[in-house]
Amino acid sequence: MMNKIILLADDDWDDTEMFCEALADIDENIICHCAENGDVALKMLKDHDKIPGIIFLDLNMPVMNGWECLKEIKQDERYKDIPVIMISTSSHKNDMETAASLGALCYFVKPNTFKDLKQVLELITSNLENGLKEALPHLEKNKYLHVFL
Amino acid sequence: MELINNLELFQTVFNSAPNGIAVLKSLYTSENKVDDFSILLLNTYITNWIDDEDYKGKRFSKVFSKTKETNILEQFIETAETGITTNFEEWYGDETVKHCFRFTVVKQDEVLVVTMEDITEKKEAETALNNALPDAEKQKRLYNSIINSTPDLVYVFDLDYKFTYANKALLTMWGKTADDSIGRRLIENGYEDWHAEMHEREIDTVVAEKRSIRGTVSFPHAELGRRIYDYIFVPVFNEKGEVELVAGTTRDITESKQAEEKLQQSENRFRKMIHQTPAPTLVLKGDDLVIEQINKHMLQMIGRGQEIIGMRVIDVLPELEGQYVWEQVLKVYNEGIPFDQSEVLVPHNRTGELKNYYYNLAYRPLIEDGQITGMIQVAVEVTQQVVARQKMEESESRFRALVNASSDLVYRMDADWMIMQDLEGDGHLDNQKERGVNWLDKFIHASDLQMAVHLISKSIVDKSIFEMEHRVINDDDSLRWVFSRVVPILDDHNNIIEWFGASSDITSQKELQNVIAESEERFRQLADLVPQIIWTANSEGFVDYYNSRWYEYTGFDEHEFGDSSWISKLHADDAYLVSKTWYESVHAGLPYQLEFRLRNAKTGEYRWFLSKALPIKDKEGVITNWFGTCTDIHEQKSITEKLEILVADRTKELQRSNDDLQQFAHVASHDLKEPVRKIKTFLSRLEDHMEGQFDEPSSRYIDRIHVAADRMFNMIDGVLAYSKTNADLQKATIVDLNEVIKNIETDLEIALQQANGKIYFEKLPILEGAAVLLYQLFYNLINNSIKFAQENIPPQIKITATEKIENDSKIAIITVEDNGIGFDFDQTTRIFETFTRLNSKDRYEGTGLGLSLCKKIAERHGGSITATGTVNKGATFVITLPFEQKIKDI
Repeated sequence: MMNKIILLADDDWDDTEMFCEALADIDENIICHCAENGDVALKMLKDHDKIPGIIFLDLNMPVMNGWECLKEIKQDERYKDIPVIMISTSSHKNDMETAASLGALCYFVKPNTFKDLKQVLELITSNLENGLKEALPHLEKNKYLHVFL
Repeated sequence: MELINNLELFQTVFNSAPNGIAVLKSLYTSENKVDDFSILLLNTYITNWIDDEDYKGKRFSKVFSKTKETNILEQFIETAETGITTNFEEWYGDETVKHCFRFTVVKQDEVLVVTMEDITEKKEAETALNNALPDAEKQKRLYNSIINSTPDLVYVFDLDYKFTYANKALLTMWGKTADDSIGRRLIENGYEDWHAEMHEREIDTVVAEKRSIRGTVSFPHAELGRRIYDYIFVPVFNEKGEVELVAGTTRDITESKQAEEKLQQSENRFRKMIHQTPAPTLVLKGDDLVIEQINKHMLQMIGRGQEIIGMRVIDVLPELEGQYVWEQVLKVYNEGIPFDQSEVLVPHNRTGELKNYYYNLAYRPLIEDGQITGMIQVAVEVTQQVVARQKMEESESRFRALVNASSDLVYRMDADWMIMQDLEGDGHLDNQKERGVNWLDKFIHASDLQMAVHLISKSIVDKSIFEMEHRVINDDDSLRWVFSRVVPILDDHNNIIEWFGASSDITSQKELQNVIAESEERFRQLADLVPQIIWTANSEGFVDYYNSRWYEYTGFDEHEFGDSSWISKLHADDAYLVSKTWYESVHAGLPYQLEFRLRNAKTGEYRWFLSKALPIKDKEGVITNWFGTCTDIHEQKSITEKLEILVADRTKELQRSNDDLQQFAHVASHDLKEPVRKIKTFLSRLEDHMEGQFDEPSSRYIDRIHVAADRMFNMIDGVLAYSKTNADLQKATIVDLNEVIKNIETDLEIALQQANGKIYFEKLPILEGAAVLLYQLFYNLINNSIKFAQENIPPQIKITATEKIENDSKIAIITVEDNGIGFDFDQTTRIFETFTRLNSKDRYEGTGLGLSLCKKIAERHGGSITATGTVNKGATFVITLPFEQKIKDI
């Protein structure tokens, strides 16, 4: 069945709240697990039986930041195939390169408005059943998303 | 009578007569004397003769004209007159043919009948016989006299072995007369049985085989005693070809036989002598100079065997051809002049290869009967002596040369150094008068005497070589330095027989040495004055001198030299490098310079020294030694070191602070932006939430909050960008400014569209620079131009470029001109200051960083930027950038 579990790692409570609200608006069935940092996110992965369909990682997190977490995920047999999307407040070329090199699926900049956030998330979640990779070309249309293929 | 009556018959008889018959009739003269005849009749015989048929009645003298020269006619006349029958012979004919006739003339009545008989042959035979007889007689006489005068024996045997003839010599030998001996046999004539027997057998052989026999025999001569005879028997043949007699001759060959024997004997003796003599001897005979005799010593000497006897000597020793010695051989043979010479060089092939041999040679011609028939050669080999002597001469001359080259004087002394004799050299020991001089007295200067005596005694005792440099007083009382070397000569029992000495004048060397020593001393004194360490090394790099500074500093022993004397004083870290560098310099012949630490002996500390060395070369440019200094640079070094450390530290700090700053900027921008973002986000949520419920002032207030937040964002971005460009080093690449402007055009497409602006540019240069930074620079300028456009006037931006040469480098000058609002003249410099805005914040958004960034970028490229403006007309920015970046990091 469709995997409607999303794992989010972000240390900003406001952002997390908004994220979940947006998700809820899009689809009530989507379960969003929220972790404060990469370390907690990994623990959550282990604790929960179900593998999330997608993982969102914020870059700047205490304890374990997005890069480290991404590395860990990609090294783990169980999770390396889960699509990972990096999120950040800024888009630096370096960061995008790093994200690509570490195996993230795409990278997006946190939109300034709630509306835009919802739009992005909708795009992503609606393609969860199709297999995100195949849907990515469509996602590129969105100005916030930077997709790596 | 019948015959006469028958005329025909008579005619036939008449004409067939073998003789000539003529019937003549006398013709009378006036005196009635007969002087001619008329021919009545001639028989055929005569008519054939005269070849004239028509003779009848002709005069006789006419027909036989040739009788004129004869007295035939006279005879006829006589008979005609006297009537007496005459017989006479007469020759008749012409020059070529003469016949002798016998005429018979008969008178018959009045007619003369002449009969002529051709007796030519008979006459001739008679004549011959008559001639022969005396000839035969003559010959006989001659024969007899020869036979009897010859000393040889001549005799004839008949078949009964009897002597039929014996000449005088034979008779004399027998001591008999002819009567006693002729008709007798050999034995009867005194021959011994065996002798007679032999001869008789021989006679038989001659008779039987019809050939001669030769032999030799001895016989007692009656007068001369026993003689040796050589005889020959020859057969005498009769008409039938049978042997009827045996004739013989015998010659007394006693003398010649004796002579032969003597010769044989002497030859034998000669031969024996040749073979017994120890000297290699050779006898050559004949014009070909054939080897007739050769003794074994000579054979050995030429390395051949007996087979060469009979060969021409030149065939045996072809290598002699053309040599001096062969000339002499020929001379001896041809002229008979004896040849003697010692130590003649004769290269010849004795052992299979041509070698040089020396001989004492004696050649003598052999004269037989006054003629040179050959020659005898005696050769004694003296090769070894000659070679030895030559070697000795060579070594002597070498010795002499050596002596002359090396010493001024060579002399001999007796075992006690008492007597001196000059051997060679230019003899300072002049004259033989000086003999018997004590070496010491003669030679040694008083001051050196003691030393000399000491050394001499030592030499005498040790039987060792005496060597000494010493002074000698010249005749003019001047001093000179001499080096004397005397060698003891020992006999078989190791006792000293005599001494050989050689001396050389070394005055000039000594003087030179002194000069050098003095100059060295001065050098040393000088060297010890200076505060630096001075040292010298030989061409191999072996340090052989230090001034006193060195010893003071290192505390080393004064007699230490070479590697061990300095390497150990270096700081452990420096030692390897220093010795390596030093020896590399030595081998390359290049000046040496290095800094290293040396241990101060007193304080134990290591101080820094600067060591320099230069090679000293001779006239040919060959390095003879090295001259070096060591200067204490410790203070400077420490300072420099400290400085370097300081700088390094500072740089590190700077770098660190730079990094920190970078990091800070990055984080700061992120963290600063975060709350701003939140503001905006929540503001938007609020707006969504309160959709339509805000009154106008509220909406306005919210808008203002958005604007402020946006400003915040831009500011933060600007600061971040500014700080980044400051920090990061960009690599210089080739940047095509045309491309850069094209990219900016694309990136500012929307803005340009909105403002209806246009950028004009052409032929911008391609130069070395940081692409990102240059992009930023021009982006800022163009962006400004668009931003600061005049109201309702679409911004026109013109970018042009030129170039100039400044200090050997090419500089590009790019002009960016717009038609915007421009600025005041006195703001020209201010606009490039950070955070400086010429306009109020609200009217034209901007961080105030743009132009200062441009300036920074231009300066980082080693260029510059200046601006001119006219208010409400436009602004012009002039950027200079070098084409080439010397340092590839900007």
